[in-house]
Parts: sequence; structure tokens; C-alpha cells
Amino acid sequence: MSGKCKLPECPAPDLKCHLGNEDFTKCENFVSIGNEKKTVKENPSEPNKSSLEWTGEALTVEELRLISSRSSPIIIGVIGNAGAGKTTFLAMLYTLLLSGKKLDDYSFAGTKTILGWDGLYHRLKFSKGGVSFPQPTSVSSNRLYHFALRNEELQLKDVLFADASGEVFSSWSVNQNDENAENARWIYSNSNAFLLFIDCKALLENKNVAKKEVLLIARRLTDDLRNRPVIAVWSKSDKKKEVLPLIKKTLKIELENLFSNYSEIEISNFLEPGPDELVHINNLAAINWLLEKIMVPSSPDLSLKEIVSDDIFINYKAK
Amino acid sequence: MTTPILLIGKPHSGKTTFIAQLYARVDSNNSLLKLYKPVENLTPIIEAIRAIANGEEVNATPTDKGSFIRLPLQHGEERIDLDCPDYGGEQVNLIIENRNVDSKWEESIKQSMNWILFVKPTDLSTSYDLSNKTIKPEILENGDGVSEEYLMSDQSSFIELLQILLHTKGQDSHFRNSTSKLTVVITCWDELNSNATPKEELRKCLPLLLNFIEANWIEGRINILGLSSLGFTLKEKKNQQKYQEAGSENFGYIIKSDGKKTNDITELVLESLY
Repeated sequence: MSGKCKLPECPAPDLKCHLGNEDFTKCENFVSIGNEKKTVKENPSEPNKSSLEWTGEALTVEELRLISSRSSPIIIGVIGNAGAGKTTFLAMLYTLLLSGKKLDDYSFAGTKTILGWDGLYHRLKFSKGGVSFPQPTSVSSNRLYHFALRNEELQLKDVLFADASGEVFSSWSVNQNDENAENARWIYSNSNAFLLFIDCKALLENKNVAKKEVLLIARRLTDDLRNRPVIAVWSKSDKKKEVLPLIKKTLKIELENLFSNYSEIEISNFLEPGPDELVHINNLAAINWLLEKIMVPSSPDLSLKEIVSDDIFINYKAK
Repeated sequence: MTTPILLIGKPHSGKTTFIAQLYARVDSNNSLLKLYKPVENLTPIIEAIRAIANGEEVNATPTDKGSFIRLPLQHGEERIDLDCPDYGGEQVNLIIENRNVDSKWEESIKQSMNWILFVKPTDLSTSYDLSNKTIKPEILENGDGVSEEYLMSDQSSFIELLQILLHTKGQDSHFRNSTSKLTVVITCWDELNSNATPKEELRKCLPLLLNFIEANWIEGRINILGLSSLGFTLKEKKNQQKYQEAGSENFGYIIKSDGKKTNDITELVLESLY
């Protein structure tokens, strides 16, 4: 049946109902297309049409012009397998900003997607003794979360985080032209930099199988990467110490060999008592590193180590 | 020529008490300000004026009372209209929820170069999340993905309100605002028992809002103040008596941006102008 769930975070009908209803059409939040029309009729006093040009929700690719009409936005692709913690990372990013944490060289000057961010934050709040966490991102969605940042020279920089479902990256890593991987292809072509997620919990549980999945995506990422920066984010790093040392070591080396404009960082969503690095510092540090690399693109080193000829071109020999 | 000041605040942020106390003070010729003509319609605040005169706290204004109130003030030769388009505050919530600025608000926003935003820290909801509480992951792993009904957080809601105001004003987001002055007023200051400056208090309760403001206004066009319209709680009998005998206009104070206290709350109006 066609339709959609009233709750924006629910992946139905693409995936299972996040409340666990086997048949999502039976869920009270699911609105089939037929019912939706009826609902509109029953509520003639629906709020007036918005006088604003932005909805506050995460943007779709079609809505990108809202930002691109005023600046050339920087797009950061959030890449990784399903369940690796990509959306939760974004939720933590906004949660940290809400608590007063700052990026190194940029101040927060607003966002056109505040409802999107705030909805993610809501999912990290304690309620009824638990935390609900962001629900799996729908296969069909490619959500763009926006920050307007101001640098030290007070210039406005628009940054967008592209968040798609992990499944599309898996499909794309196997077959670049997979018909279901359109969102992954869009993110790959349009992003200025990438966060590549490595799920430590998956590495712990599925060992080499999980490692191969990461490497499949990483390999695909190198295809037409040019010099775009990549930071590997070891998510759920509270579990990293339990991952087999050989798996960690070989994965680390293989990733370093694949990328040049590259760094790695460990993050977690679980605060340890005492000074915290994994949650408070590293989440923002990953973004700081990418922004620094994007804003100052590293150029090839053209200085000459030795002069062997009068001909300037001969002096530039392959390293 | 009259300078309009736009007073904005969510429901129960202390607007009515402030306007009633400001009126009482101006009316008794005990301040830097006076009225340049009688207030056209005192209905929205008359109950509050009477209650305070008797040493009683002001009943919360019904949020759906979207009445407009204007105090026609004068400072020296300058005429200043203090406008509160919606002293109940519900319309402010509706602007954010419905994402719609009606023509009346649009006109007020466009006309005024001086905005006052009331924020009451003691009314803000405090929530705990994974960034400020330690918890073992095992405890959470069996979560069912169900969360409480979504309500926009206070901080996001204030930021969106200011973004909507700036957008309505036609502010070019490439630049910081250097024309409209924003005065953020931390209300019910006496309940905070604080020795900090108002800016430090704002940083404590709404840090991202403060970062947003500082990234969008030049230094000279932001002012952050503390306000206690009553001066102390009126729940105690001896305090009520002070009001009944000395007159409510003699109480209340503001904390200036440098942390210094002044006992004339009408200075808040001047602070929002210059």
C-alpha cells in the first residue's frame, strides 16, 4: 500500500515500522494516500500557509537551491554501512552545539534545518529512563542538514551534511551503477569531503566480514576521489578495545594506503566519568579537521629537491 | 518623530509585570521617562497594575489574549513607543509553529530598529541527553525506539524565532546586523540568586542562542540585561506590605551588561535604544 508515516523519523514504508508493527499499515501513525486526503478534509482549519521559504526540516536535493542561491555550500558526505551511527553522529553534533561546545574556527550563525536538527537532538534525550536514538534512515531519503557558519573573517559559509541510508552505500560499494544507489552516487559526486564510518561494534561481532564491508565502501570512495579529504570515524569506540587487534591493525593500514588526504578519529555516544574525549572532543574534532582541509585545499608540493637540468620541466620528475 | 521599540516574549516570560511596573513608575513621575500622552487602552494591564499596587503577584496573562499594548513614552525631546503586539505571547509561539508572520507582526518587525526579547531562565525546560549524562550502553541497547512526543527545544525555538525576525526584516545573512539593535532581557533575575553578568547567565542557560546572536549582530548592537520587575517575591506578607505602603513603583531593578544594578527599571527602555 502506498502512503507514509506521520512520524518523519519512521522508515516505513521503505523499511519496517519503527514501533515494531509487523504490518505498518495497521500502525496508527501510518497514513495511506487515500486516508491522507480524508484527513485534510476533516481539518479545514489547518495552519495557514507558511510565509517563510524554508520549512526548518532537513532539505531534499531539490530544496538545495535555498542555500545555493546565496552561496556555494560545502557538502560533507556521511558515508558508511547501515547501523554504523551516521545519523547519531549528526544528532550528537547538534546536541554538543546546543550545550555550548563550539567549532574551532567557526561560529554558529544559524540553520535552515533547525527542526531536522532538533528532531535528531530529541532522539538523544533521556525519556522514560532510556534514549530512543535516531531511527534507521529510509532507503529513499537523502537528507541534507544545514549549518550557516561564520569564519574568523566574519564570512558566511554554508555547510550541509548529506545523510542517506547505509543500505544505499552497501549497494553502491558492490555495484557503482546499482539502480538503488542513486543517493550514494549523488553524495559521492557532490560532496567536498567525507566522513567514513567504521562500526566498532560490527567489527567486534562480525570480525573480518565487517572489515570487508568497510573496505568495499572505502575502495569505491577512491574511484574518483581526487584530493577530497576523508576522515575515518571509528564509531562506538567504547567497544574498540574489544575488537581483535589484528582486525584493527590491518584495517587501519589498508585505509591509510587507500587515501592520501586522510585522517582518523574515534568517537562514542557514551560519556565516561571524568574528562571526556570520545564524545565531547572528537565529534567536533572530526568536523574541524574536514573544514580545515576543505577551506585550505592541499596543493601538490612543487618545490624542487634538486636541480639536475637547466630545463625546468626535466627537474620535475616523478617521486 | 517617534521611535518604536518592539517587545517580544513567549507566554509567561514577564512582559505584563514589566509593562505594569514600567507604567507605574512613569505615571508617578519618578523616572527618566514620562508619558507624552495617556495610554490609549490600559485594559490589557489594568488588572496587573491593581494587583501589584496591592502587593500581589500578577496572574499569568491568558496566552490567547493577543491584544496589542503601546506605552507612549518620552525621554527629553525624544518620543518612544514601547510596543508589545501580543502581550499574551501565544502569537510568538504560533509564528514558530505555523511558520507564518501575519501582516501586523510583519509591520511591527519592519518598522522597529530596536527589539527587546524577554527570556525567563526559570521557565526553560532542562533535559538530560547523552552528551551530559554517563550511562552504560548495555542499558540502552534494548530500547524500543519509542521516544516521548516531540516538542521543539527552547533553544532551537528561540533561534528559529530570531531567524524568522531577521528574515522578515530583510537582513542579508552574509553580514552581521548593524542596524537593528537586539536587547535580550533575562527576567525574574531575583529568582536566579546570581552574581554573574546577564551575558554569563544567558551563556549558562542558552549557550547556542548566545553564539547565534553574537554571530549575527555586531558588538555594539547587542545588549544583554537582567530584570527583576518586582525586586523580590511577593509571596511573603512583609514584602506585600512594602508594596502597599511605599507604592510598587519604588521597587524593581535591572542588571546592566557590566553586572551593575540600577533601581530604575525604565532605564531598560533607554538601554534598548542607545
